[in-house]
Amino acid sequence: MSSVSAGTPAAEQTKPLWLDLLTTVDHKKIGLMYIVTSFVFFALGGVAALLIRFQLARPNTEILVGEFYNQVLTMHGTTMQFLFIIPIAIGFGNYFLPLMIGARDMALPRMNAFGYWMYLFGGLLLYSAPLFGGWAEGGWVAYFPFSSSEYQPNAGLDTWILGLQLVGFSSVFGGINFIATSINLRTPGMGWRQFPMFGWAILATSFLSVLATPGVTAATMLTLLDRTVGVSLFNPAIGGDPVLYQHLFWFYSHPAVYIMVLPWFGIISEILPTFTRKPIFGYTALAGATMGIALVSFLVWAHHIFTSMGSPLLNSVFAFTTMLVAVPTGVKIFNWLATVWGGKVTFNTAMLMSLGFIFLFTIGGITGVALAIVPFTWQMHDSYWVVAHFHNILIGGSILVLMGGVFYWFPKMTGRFLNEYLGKWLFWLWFIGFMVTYFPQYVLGMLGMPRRIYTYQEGLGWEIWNSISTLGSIMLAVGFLLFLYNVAISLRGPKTAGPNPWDGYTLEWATESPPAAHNFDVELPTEFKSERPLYDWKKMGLWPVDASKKLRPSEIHLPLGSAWPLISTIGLTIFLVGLVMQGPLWIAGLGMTLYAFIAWANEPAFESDEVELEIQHHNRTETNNGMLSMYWFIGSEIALFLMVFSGYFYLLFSGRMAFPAELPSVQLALLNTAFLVSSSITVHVAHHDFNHGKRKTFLGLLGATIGFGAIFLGVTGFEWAEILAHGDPRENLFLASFFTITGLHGIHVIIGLLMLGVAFFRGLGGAFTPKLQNGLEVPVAYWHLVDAIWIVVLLVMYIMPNFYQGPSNLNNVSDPFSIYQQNTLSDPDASGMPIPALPNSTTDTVFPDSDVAPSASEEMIPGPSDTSDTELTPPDLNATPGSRPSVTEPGTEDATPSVPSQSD
Amino acid sequence: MTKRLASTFVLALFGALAFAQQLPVPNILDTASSHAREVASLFWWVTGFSVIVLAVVVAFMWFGIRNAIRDNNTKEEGWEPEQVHGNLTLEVTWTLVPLLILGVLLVLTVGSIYRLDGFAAPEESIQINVVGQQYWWEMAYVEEGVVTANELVVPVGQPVKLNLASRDVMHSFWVPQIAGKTDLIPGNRRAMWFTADREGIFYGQCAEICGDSHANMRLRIIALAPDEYASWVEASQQPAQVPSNVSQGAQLFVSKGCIGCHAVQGVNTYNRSAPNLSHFGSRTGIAAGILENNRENLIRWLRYTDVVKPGVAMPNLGLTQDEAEALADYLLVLELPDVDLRAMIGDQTATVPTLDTELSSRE
Repeated sequence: MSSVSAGTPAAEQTKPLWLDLLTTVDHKKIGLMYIVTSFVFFALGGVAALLIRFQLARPNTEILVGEFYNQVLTMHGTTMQFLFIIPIAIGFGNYFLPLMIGARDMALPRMNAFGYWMYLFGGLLLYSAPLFGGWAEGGWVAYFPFSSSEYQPNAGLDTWILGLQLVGFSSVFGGINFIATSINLRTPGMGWRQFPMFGWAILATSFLSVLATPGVTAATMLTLLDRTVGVSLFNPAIGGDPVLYQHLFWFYSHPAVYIMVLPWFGIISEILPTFTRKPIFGYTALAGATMGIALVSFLVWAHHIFTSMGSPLLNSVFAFTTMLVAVPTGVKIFNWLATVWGGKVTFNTAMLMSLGFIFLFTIGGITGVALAIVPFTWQMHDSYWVVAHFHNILIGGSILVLMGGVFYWFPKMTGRFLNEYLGKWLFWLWFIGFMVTYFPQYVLGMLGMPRRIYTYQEGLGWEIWNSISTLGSIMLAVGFLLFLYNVAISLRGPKTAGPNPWDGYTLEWATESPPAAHNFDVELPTEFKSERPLYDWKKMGLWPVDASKKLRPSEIHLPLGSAWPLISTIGLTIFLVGLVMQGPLWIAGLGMTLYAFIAWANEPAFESDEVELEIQHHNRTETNNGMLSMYWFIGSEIALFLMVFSGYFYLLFSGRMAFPAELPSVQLALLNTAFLVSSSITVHVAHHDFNHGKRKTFLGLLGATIGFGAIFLGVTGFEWAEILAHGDPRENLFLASFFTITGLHGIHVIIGLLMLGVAFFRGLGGAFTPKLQNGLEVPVAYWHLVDAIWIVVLLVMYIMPNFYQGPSNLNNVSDPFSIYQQNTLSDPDASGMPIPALPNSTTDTVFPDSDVAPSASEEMIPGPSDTSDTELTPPDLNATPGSRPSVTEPGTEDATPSVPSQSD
Repeated sequence: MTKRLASTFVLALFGALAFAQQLPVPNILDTASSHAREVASLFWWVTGFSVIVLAVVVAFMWFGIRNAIRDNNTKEEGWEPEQVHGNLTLEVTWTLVPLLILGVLLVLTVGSIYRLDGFAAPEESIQINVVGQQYWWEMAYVEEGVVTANELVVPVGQPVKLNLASRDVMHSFWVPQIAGKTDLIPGNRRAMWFTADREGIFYGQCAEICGDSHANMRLRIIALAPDEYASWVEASQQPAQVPSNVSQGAQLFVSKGCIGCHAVQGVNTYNRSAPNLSHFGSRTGIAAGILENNRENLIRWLRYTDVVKPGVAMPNLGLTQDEAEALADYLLVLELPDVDLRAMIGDQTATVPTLDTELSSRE
């Protein structure tokens, strides 16, 4: 398939819309696709929300009962977060970031399309779970062990996990793309101090996406590993810890909270100046606060598990970091208010939404501070108070500004205004509807109503508040329908907006409405004084630019469209469905994906190499877009390995790690290291030779690299077989960690080899030139990463266990519930006195201590079993120790309970 | 005008909270233990600061909007506001003041964390092992050798330490009037402690999603006067006195297989796979507290087990009405000898949540 789209506007129109959308790489079209798709998912998530509210409106309702309720609430949470609020921000970022920084497209246009398709198919996969046995049940957090195959045996949860991976990749690639775009594609003259506030927000969000998403990837993939092959770091039966899942999960999902709000902080920071006719107050403070929030958000994840950790020290530390978040957030709120102060305010829908946001978000923020008070969180955690709190942030905060953003930018995206009268109805319905829905939920939390329950009793005083809350949710739903109607009638109206209807200050208003495919008709001035270029240029007489300076079509180059992002996504989806169904389908999917990736690599991004070089020449840094993105992707990969290694160290330092009698061979690993280090040298020299025109040695050394890599894989395979012959990773925590980590590294070796292989064959065909060699330098960089990580694997998994095996080496960490079994009838020593053997540990230090290991279980069984006087040990024990109670045949005398004779 | 509005706003907030404290239903501010009282005081601290911060924000916004409306109405059409880019003093102020407030809160918080830490329970605490299972709570009194389920009986004025563990998935122990949550995590040990400071029956439930009937995994803490508690313990150590006129039910208990999981002191040994029924007749609730314990409810539970509690491990035995009645009669006489728990709780039973009407109408 040759690329169909040509870069000129004329060619765009010759294609039917559907084909155009399937192959487009235009950031505006992709942005709109993101936004529209997100709203569809928003509607689905909203239906789920309404069902939940109707179920809870009265006690003992039976709309959604038990399992089905759990499924609906899981889909509600998953949809709203992963399929709506995060991707719609990517949508806005896609549409507006390039416009606001004067770029023609994103840094990696095809990757951008790939991101959208992965998001769409990930969403479809999530929703297709009923085909595989039903949606997941454990809420959007999917805590272990409820998420293990023992408690959720159907493949619905596998679908959930794999769908989430696609969405997660989409968000990582989106983030990388935004970062590369911000760094490289700012129009000449725009420095970081003139970078738009929305840009800062998207940039901070992207850092979070790129570096935090590996947390959820690790958490869910480890769950999947447990569910499918039984190798688990969480399984308590072999010393694993379900709390580790929570740490990994929240390491992503707390920053995700900021991924869900920061973009809207950016949008409000654009709306306020426009409608107050003032610059944003405290630009530096706001940008700094944005970055500060992003930074601190990496340090607060454990405040989601204050009730799980059981460690006063950790609880105190995370209380401290959590409180810190309030400071930059407060700075933001006050700066926004100061922007409004003294302004010439236009009270239109976008502005009302922003003001409503400031009020409701403040409430969400201070309830957030309350949740940093750990003992108070013990009360409110997983109650409706928390439900109210985060909806306060996400609806009262994010979604109000999101709507403000829609009203603000709708004229830019469509050339038409949304109806202001209906808009104000929407605002008041949502503003009041929000308070009616969620303020009662704060009360409900204080009355003791936990979240995720499908029913409740009468008489606890919950009925009235639940009913009010449901009424409020109807107001929210009506508001949304009104919005859809508003969009529908507005789209039928004439285009009346013009390029800059609000007299906005940023560069998106320097284009047509909607912008042409190439965005800017003229070369933008290069004098930037502040974050308000249009305002400054008008004062300086630089804007509008003389029409005679309009660029000729031949001077404008756009990236070519491509079908390969879509085709490779379909391949990936088929691959994942094959995995879920555990059938041979995955081979077909994998083949299709690989074919599509290779075709993609071979397809030119621009009309010609000269054009690509010229575009590259305009970059703001020496590093080209491909490499810049690769560096950030490497960052993300390192974060992924950090997650898994942290998991290993967590288990090691908490004394849970059990080592097998025979550790993996260090000699073999050193041999393998030699191969891999050699390959790093060969690939480095190969690259060097290529740059110096030595084509033959380049190809030879590249081939040698691939050979070394293949040998490495072969040795690893041999080693795996050896270890599997002696031990079972399902039964031993160290082996489970070993196979998880070497397996993850092995997958990276395979990916690296595939990339090098493609580069080799393209190199044979002479595809690279010293100036245009993205397809070569990217695999080379990736291969160095693979090698570097191996060194860490070698140190941690091969060498270290020979010297250090954790604070208390418990080679026999047994099932913590073995005590339990000992106490059942089969254990004569327990004298049938069934007291749970819980140690009176007072040493729950930073990490759960060795209390999982009942090395001296007799001592740990408190209570009467210690005493010799068995008469003190009711319940009475007639049954013979050592056997289960025999259910005697009915009718026999023995079966009759011994009835004391005193009666009658 | 605006001043009055602002003060009304603040008053309304305080009023709402005062109202919450006076609500005629259980809530976290209507405390019944040392632990809950400490948390409630933290709540008032943070609420105090929150109201101040919110008032500042609202006033800032309110006057900003009011001035803007005034300017819109009074100034010439083409006026341009002053182009203020920022103010360093203000930035420093609204960075430092929140830091100070947070510093106060942090000190209070850390103190409470360590005081309320479960593993720091006083030596003399009563030790109770609580094990969560889908969907009920096993409660074992370590020193006393008493095992019960779903209803924790504690004395007023004496510290109680709960050792928490789970047998299957994660659960979370929450009785709002007594203490905040502590999770029960497989492979881990957690603890919490509290001292009940008044008599009464306090409702709670599992707060971590644990399966189909997560909503139906409830529990109660019954706080008794110390002497009443002592007699309860003593009675709990004795088998129930079973009259002979319930022998049909007693036989059904064996022949229908109840005995395979449930234990009755004097009949078989407790094997932990289901609640100990030795003194079932003296419990206040059935099925982890979703139904009040009376004959009618018990018969319904025995006959429609899986409807009352979806996903429950107890099978629907297909009992006839007669069989269910006989079994209920047997179970209800399994009472604590010489102790009337309901009388001890006294008029508290009046506040017991009413029956599940939907279920009764279904029959």
